[in-house]
Amino acid sequence: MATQSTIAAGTVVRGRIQAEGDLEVLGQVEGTIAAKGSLEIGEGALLKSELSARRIVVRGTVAGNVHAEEVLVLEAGSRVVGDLSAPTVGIRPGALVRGHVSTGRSTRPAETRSRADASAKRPAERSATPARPAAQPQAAAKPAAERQPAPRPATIETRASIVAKQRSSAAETATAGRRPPPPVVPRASSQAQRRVPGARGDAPAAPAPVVPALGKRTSKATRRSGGR
Amino acid sequence: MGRGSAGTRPGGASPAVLGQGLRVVGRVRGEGDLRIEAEIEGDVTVGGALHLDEPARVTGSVVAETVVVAGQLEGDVTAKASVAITASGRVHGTVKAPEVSLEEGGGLDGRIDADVELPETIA
Amino acid sequence: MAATVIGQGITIEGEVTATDEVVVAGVIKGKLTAEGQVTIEPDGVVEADIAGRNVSIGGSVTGNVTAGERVDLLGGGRLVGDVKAARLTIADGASFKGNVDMDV
Repeated sequence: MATQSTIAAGTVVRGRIQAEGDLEVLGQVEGTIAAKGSLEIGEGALLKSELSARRIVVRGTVAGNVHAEEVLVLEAGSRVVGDLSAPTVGIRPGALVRGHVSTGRSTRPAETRSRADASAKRPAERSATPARPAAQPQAAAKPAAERQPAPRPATIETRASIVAKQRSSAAETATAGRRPPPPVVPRASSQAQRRVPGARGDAPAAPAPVVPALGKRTSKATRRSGGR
Repeated sequence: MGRGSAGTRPGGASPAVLGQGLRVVGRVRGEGDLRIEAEIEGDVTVGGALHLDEPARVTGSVVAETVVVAGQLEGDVTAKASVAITASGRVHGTVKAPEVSLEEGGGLDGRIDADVELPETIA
Repeated sequence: MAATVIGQGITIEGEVTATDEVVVAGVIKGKLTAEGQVTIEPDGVVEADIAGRNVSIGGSVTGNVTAGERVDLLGGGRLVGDVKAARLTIADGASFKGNVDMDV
């Protein structure tokens, strides 16, 4: 394999770039870059490009969607306007991003959608799962290009609808089982089991917001070590 | 750690804690810092630093001065200063803050909307 | 500014414009313009017009070559296209098919 390929700082490329291995971009590119190895976008680089590579590190400016097969890292000082997707994404403080970010296993940006997070956040049988759009596991199953399922609630809804969703989403998690969830806090499931299972599904009608005495711990909480 | 205080106070001695095992359905408000280890269904709005520990499971919008998500959040997060998602954090929702960081291993499925100005040549 | 290096595994379809030098061991289809030296290595394949200060061809070029100073077609090199440069060398073993204009 040749030495490190580089698009130098003063160079402008307009067109498609394909790399079998690694590529470093310090100049300007307008057009798609697809690398099978690592793609490094230097600090002064200006890209109006769709990027895809095995590993991508961005220190410069990119207008376009970025997809990495393994790891995507945006370093401080980077600016990206576009959608980001990779199994592992790192965004350092100081990186500026505007776009949709999708972590977790993904093959192509178009299909990518919260699949990992859908299962990550939801230990399957957990009845205490907070309301989640019922469509989510199904949306992930489709090779759809959509990024956000329409019914996803941005904010919480009334208790009645939460309960209704829990029931229907609980039914769907049974069918979801798409892939082994990425490391998920297991403690949460055991937490759920401790609670009275019935309390979940039949939340009473009283809608008054419950404001806990902040600062006070329940007896259960004291089980954990106090210091943090 | 915060214990015995009735509510959060700005610049208070220690942050309030919604401990593990607690389940809150409804809005949570505070003026100071808050650490959540509990399960919350409802919006959380605090004036200071909000820390969602690893066991935290929050469904609802979250607003604070700074937010650290080490647990799971289903909902939007808005911060005046910064949002940090740690390696154990999982966020499904929009993230709005001047500074947003995501540790490798952390999960995010949603938009980040920082104020990004692109140079003319590639805008 | 450093050299732009288009390594062996790189393929560019489009225009490359460099302010410094360019070394090509990969593939360029389109157009290549540099203010500095252009070196086409033995593995390089260029289907494009090339412009540079000096152009050294050790690989395969299909396209017209214009140089501010000189063009050197090396032993293993192959050029199909016209050359416009003040100075030109064609080494033994090189392949060349095209016109030459040295009156620049």
